Amino acid sequence: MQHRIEEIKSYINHNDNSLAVRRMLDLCLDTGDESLLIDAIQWSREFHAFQKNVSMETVPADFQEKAFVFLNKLNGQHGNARQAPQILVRANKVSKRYSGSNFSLHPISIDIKTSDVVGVVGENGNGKTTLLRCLAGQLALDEGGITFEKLSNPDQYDIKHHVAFIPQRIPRWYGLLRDNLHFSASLSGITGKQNELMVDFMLERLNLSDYANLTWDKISSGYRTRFEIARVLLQKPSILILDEPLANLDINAQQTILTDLRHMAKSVYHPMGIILSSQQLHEVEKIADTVLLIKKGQCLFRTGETEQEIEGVVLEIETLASREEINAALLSMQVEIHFNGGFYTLLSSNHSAEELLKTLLNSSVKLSYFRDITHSTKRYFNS
Amino acid sequence: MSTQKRLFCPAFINRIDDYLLKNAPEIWSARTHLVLYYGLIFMSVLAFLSFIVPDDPRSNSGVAFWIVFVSLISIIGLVLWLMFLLRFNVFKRYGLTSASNRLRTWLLYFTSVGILVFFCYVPPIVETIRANSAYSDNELAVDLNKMNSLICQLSYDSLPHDWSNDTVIVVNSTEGRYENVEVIGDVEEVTTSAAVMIDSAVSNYKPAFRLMDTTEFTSKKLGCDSLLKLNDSVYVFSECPSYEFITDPGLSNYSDVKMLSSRDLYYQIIQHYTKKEVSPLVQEMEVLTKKYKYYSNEDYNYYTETEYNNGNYIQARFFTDNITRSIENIYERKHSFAPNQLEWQIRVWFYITFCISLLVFNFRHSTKKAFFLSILTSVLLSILTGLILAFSSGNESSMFGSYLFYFALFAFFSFGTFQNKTRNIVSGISINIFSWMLYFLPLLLTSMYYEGQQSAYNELVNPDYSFDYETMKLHLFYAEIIGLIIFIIAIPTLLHRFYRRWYALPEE
Repeated sequence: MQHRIEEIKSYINHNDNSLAVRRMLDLCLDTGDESLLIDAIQWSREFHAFQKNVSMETVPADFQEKAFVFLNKLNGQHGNARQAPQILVRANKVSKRYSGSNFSLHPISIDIKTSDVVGVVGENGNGKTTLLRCLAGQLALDEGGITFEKLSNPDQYDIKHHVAFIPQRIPRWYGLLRDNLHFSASLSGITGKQNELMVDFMLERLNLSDYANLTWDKISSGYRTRFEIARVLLQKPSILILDEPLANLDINAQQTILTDLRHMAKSVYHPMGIILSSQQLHEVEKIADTVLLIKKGQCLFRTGETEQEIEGVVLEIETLASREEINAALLSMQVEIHFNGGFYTLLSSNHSAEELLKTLLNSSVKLSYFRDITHSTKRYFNS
Repeated sequence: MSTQKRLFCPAFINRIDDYLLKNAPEIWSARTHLVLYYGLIFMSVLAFLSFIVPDDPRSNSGVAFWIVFVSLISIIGLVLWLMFLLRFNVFKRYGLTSASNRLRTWLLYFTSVGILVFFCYVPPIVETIRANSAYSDNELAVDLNKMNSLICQLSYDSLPHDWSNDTVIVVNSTEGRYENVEVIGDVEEVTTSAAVMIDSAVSNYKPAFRLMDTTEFTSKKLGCDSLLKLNDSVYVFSECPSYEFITDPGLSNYSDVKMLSSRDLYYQIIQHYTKKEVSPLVQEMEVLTKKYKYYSNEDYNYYTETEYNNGNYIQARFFTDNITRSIENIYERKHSFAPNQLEWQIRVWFYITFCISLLVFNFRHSTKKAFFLSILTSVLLSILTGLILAFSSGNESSMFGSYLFYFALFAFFSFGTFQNKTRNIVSGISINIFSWMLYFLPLLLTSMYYEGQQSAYNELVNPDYSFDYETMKLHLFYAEIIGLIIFIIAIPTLLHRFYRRWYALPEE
């Protein structure tokens, strides 16, 4: 608790107020104290009101003072203890073939625990969605099995209540967005005042309050994704599966949603397992505990396991220098160079990334971008 | 609270709506509270309009036009309700739900549809209330008797005074067949054929007679004006001329006043006729004519000097057809919800409501594809069965048999859902059709039983069988009740499990 309070104070001191508000909301939810949560929601509303006011460049000074007073109040709270991760779902050699298609998903095994974020990456048409739909119970397995450890003798309906799946193309909503959120909360047993509180919390947490009284037609596709996440989270699933959730989001929103998902997975109030697919490799890798690379229906790479077997270094660079200049710079080193039209990928088994970079810079090769992708799934996209 | 604006929606309805949304999503999503509220408002407005619209109870009822108009509004209401209903579905969102919720959901749909269908009953109810407040049954009966009496008084010279006679030979019909017909008593026994018997009877009883079996005799005896027994078999029925110029549409069933028959009028006025002063009688008749004659009712005034006959003369002088029509109209309006009418009125309401609510229930628990294919399958099966029965000269038993076969088939596939690994479309169709057929099963079995009895009787397998229409009606009514009970029990037990299992199965 103390650590999280200090973290929030630090955000406020550095004017990362938006982040501070979100963490504050999470922290208050985890305390389980309704009055604190109501105060935090109010505080968040004030902050968003300041944000909307274009004439105010920075938040007023009393906003920060209020925040510190509030944080001091939280100081006395003990909060709920974080529970040790438990296995939620165990997928054992799951495989799927489509009739009338050459594609098949080869056996894949995976365990998902509470607080886990699993990223599934891969090129289009390689089986990411198939794997997710198998895990969500939407596709019947040809072989293998999936067990849900927290459910005893579940039927398919129980499983689908337990597992929430957000497809890439979100089904249309009808009616007011707020009504939909209240409905989702109440159908999962969150009723009465608790229902109102949780919907208000979710709206503030995902910064959706201004859109709550609109309808589906009146919001952008990015907000539709956010609303869908809010709706699903209000249903309190144990496992959340998202297929390409970043597809309709801008760069900032992508980062925000991913970090929010990570924090929500690790929430004390309702920890859950999250599995998501995306093309945004680096963003996903930053927040995921495990990343699976699916290629042609097979799991080609898994962080934490296969990455230990990796040898050498892979560097991705962007430069205006020609291929000949790069070759000349790295002539003395044993480096394999690939070019995909945009980036150069440098593979070396004898040299470190720093050595490669130094060599290039010393040879006056101007770099506009570089990234060490040795432990990233990105390296497999170039081969 | 939701900020959605609804027309004519007071705060308390919004509060109820908000409460249900946050506490009882299945009840909220059924929108029955809104249907009830708006339904009551609409029915009140409709009732008010029906009250204020000029409508004379003596005129032909215009309620059919009201019903058509209100039916269209009911359909619009139904569409609007469905638009709101289909927005939210706890079942398809895999929310926390139980078997009892399935039953509650259907009951809510039934209530909502029932309210919408009930719109069509408001104008007839108002019409009945208006007619009842304008005329009482006793008043009508007294006036009707009075008018017939006055017509007899005023037209004595123009009326026939002689009774017609009909001599009949009563023959025994208990054997049920003409081959064994016997003349009752010891006048003459005829054991051959009806033709021989007639010839024999003709030679014995002249000039006018006819054969009458005991059943007809008993029935006619109850309603005849006079009966003279010549011997054990031969009777003379005497019939009084008709003096009921304004006929009783059925007031005798509801009025405390005895309705005067032609015979009563004969005995009271014609038989011992005493001439009275005409002008007060005419005046009295004019008052009553004014009370009941309605300008737009047809008069059937065919009377001309060249075409004189008694009926037309009375009609033309006293507007009897017009008044009869007026009294019939008043009577129909007053008793359109009488017990014998109410029975089928309730049935029409119930079956329309039941069928629509069942279809909505299926749609809400099934996929669009399975739902519409179920309807298509039902239609195709009906056509196919009809064709097979037509080409094979099938009878009602064949039809009932095919229904039972289909029921067993769809039940089998519905139970097969528990073995399926994926959401099989055949199972989905079967569950829907099974749920449609379930209610009608007891009705079918009862009909089959009576059909069997009737066939056995016709084929002389069971000549002792006597067809009791009232008992059959009662048994069919019991079958309807049992069907409903079975259906209500099946929703939380069978249908809930079928749909829960089937809908949640992997799609591919």
